[in-house]
Amino acid sequence: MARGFENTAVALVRWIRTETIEWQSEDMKKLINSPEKYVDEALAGMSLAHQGAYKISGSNGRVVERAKKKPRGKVGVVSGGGFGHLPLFAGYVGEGLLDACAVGHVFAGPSYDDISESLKAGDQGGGVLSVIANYGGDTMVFGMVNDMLTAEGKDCATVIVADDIASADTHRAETRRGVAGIIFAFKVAGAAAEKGLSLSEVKAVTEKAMAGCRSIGVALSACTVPQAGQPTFELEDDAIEMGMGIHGEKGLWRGALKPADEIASEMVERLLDDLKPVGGTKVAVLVNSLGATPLEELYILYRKVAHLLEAEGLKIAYSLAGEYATSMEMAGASVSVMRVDDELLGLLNAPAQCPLWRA
Amino acid sequence: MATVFTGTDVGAAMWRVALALVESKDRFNKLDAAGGDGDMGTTLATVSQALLADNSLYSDDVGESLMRIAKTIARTSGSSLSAVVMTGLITLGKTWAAKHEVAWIEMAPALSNALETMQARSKARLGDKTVLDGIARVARNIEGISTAEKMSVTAQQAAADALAEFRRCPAIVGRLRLEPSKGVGTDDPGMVAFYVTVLAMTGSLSRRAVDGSYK
Repeated sequence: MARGFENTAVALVRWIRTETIEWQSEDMKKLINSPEKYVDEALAGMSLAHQGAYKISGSNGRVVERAKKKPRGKVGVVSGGGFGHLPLFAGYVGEGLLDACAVGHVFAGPSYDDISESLKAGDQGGGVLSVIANYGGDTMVFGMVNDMLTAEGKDCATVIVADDIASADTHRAETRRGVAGIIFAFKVAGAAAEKGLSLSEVKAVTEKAMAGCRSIGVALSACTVPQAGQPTFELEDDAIEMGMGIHGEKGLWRGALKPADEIASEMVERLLDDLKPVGGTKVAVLVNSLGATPLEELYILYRKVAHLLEAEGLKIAYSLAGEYATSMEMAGASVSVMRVDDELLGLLNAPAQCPLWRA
Repeated sequence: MATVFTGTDVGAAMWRVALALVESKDRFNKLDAAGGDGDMGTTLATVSQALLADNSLYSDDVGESLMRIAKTIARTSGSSLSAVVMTGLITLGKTWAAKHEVAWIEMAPALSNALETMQARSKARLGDKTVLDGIARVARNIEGISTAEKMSVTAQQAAADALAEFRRCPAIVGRLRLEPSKGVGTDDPGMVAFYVTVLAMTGSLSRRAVDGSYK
């Protein structure tokens, strides 16, 4: 009798264990409770881990806003996008950066309601600037919300970031995807708003920054969207893909892994071919991890990138290396180069209080 | 022969469409994975489940019923396809605001008008092989039709014809724009979703249409 009960209990425990992790597979080994709760539980943890920094709000719980009260009359800077790119997008809510952010599902844009509520959360009476990456869903839904709020009498403006040179040639530059360069847009817009500039001035200076910003990425391995349960793309163990997007969008070429210096050289060459900076130009540089690539490897890349830029007569006036715009556990890196003048440099160097911002 | 429809008819059609889209989830994910991020089926199923969860009766007000569907999409999805559909529904909702009966003959001009707003929002052109090409074909072919029965047959055929015609075309927008030739021989997932929607809306959805063996 006792043995029978024991066997039943063991079977029950085994069944429960199997049930609770049935979404795990060879392709997905993640520290999560369930794919469906991935975003909401991560946001809850982010807010708890950085107490006093983030407030989670909105009818779907998908708006992240500053926990501290924002000054009245300042331009609100708001963004939004799919989850899975932390610290991008929601991680950059904080003083001198974003006022609020709408959060979608993993790699899927936020809903109309989430965006509408984030714009309202970011509004302090000085108008609201949406700074968003160039993806169809995001631009369309932000556009709809902006049209609706404008019709209600709010001052709204949008800057669409399209910095990924691998996603379209210069003739169709406006169709390019937005990637890590958006970090510079957040910093510039956030600092300009904090300084008290008007909505049109904040928009203009952010557009100036993005007009001179170019990025390119290289992927070494894929990541797995929890709800899909399998890698977003297949990449052979010894292969890399130059120009791949942050959701696994097709890049420029796929081939054998090369030494870091060769990869850095190709990335810088492509960036400068596109940006065409004249000698003596001051630039800001970002060497960004896509998630799994460690800081050591970023520094190896940065070293070569810096040498190459200086060899071209460019002056690195501002630099960042680290995890700024990721694709969960994707291995790889991106390099962004932005032309700067004294105004942009001042805004990049302005103070920012945000747990996930590392200058 | 039915020559008019009401807001309650809109609710009933929505119910059939939502069930069909939930059932087609895996198929749409697979189709989308060929050129997108493979989540279109999940997105449509999420929106559809939210629509099905709201099971109170739809009123006879056609505009209100269409706006009610748009609001649920607004709450649950931020995809480009959802944005396009939402834009179309809002336009139709405004066109038929406070109307308790709409004549079927009004469908073609209203759909053409909605198509214009969807094009403006998405910046996609006709011929780009998107859901808009399916809608355009239906809007054109149902012109002058005044009965539900004829509308149903004509719309189904038009959506099927658009799919067949564009199957051989390259993909101009979306991820496949980087290598458009890859789109040749495949169906645009949004156009297939529209085809399934038309079949479900007209009550003619078969197993063959859901699992994709209609080709």
